[in-house]
Amino acid sequence: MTMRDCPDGVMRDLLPVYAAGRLGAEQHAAVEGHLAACAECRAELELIRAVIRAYAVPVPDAAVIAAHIRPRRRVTGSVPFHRQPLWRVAATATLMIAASATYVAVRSGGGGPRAIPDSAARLVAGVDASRPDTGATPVTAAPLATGTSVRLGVSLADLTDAQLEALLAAMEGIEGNVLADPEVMAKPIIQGSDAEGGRN
Amino acid sequence: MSSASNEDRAVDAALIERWKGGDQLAATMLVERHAAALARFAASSGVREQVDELVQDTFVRAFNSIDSFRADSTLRTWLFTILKRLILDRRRAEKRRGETVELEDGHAVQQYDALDAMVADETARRVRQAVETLSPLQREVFLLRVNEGLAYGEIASIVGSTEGACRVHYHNAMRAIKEALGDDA
Repeated sequence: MTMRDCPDGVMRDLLPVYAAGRLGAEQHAAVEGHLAACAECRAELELIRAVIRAYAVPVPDAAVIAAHIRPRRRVTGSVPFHRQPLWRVAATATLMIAASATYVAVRSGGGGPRAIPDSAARLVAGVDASRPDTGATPVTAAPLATGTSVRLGVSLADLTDAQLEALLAAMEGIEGNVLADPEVMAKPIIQGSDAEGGRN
Repeated sequence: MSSASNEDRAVDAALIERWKGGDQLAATMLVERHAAALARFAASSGVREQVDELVQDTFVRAFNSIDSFRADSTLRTWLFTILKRLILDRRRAEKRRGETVELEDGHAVQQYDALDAMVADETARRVRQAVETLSPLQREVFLLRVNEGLAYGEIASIVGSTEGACRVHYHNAMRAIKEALGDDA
């Protein structure tokens, strides 16, 4: 003999959830009321409970399993930024602003004269950097346009005779201190070297 | 979603937070809440040996990646999904080693021989035989619904199907089991 189905599909659908004890109070009461009057659903519920018993297995030891779970490692500094103390947020912001300002100043040449090493200065002036320091005074470089690379000048070997003569004449005119005036260095000492210096 | 399910979610969420805060006892409580269901699922999926080890691996993996757990599913559903992947991995590994335990419909009754020892009840044996006549997908849906009382949506996310299809699988399975038991009587 085959078991018959209850015509109330909603109630039948709820039976396994009822058996598992997962219904809310209202639905639980509704199913109980229906079961009191429905032999088909009582039979189906009994079948469901028989399946649950048939597949019962020993319950694993929770303590043994939990012993294999590594404790949560507390991560220092995991507090979200917006929840950190105000002084810490303020200090971070100040540092970031200072760093940004420094970066911008360096990239733009700082808006004023910049001291460069003697050896580099001598190269700008076309003097051999390998020669011993003759007590030359600090030289300033012209401000660099943003995004341009530093150009130290050309090698003496690349200069023509005429350019060398022009260079020597110019050097004779340099007396002691070179003015820390960007206008001075903005004007190339060696005329035409920029265009011709690198060519053979 | 039932209020019981909502309550389960709230309790699980609170325990997870406690564990994240360093309370290791909360981990034990979470294991106690879900280990039996996972063991049942493993056994009903054809796992015959080392069920406890499989359940343990499921929890270890779950706790290691607890931050990836999203509240759009229940913790139990998420654990079932992890366990199912582990079962499939184990089957693949066993197959590579030649220890095939492929769950074919015709062999399914033999797969549960080990469980026979645990369940002496004659009625239970007949019920299991009836359940084994189902297709693997039907059986999985049916047992998740009956053993755990999961919602169709939760079952769908575990077995990789749709809510509607799971509902149909469940009712077809119930009808088939009734017929099998009726014919057997």
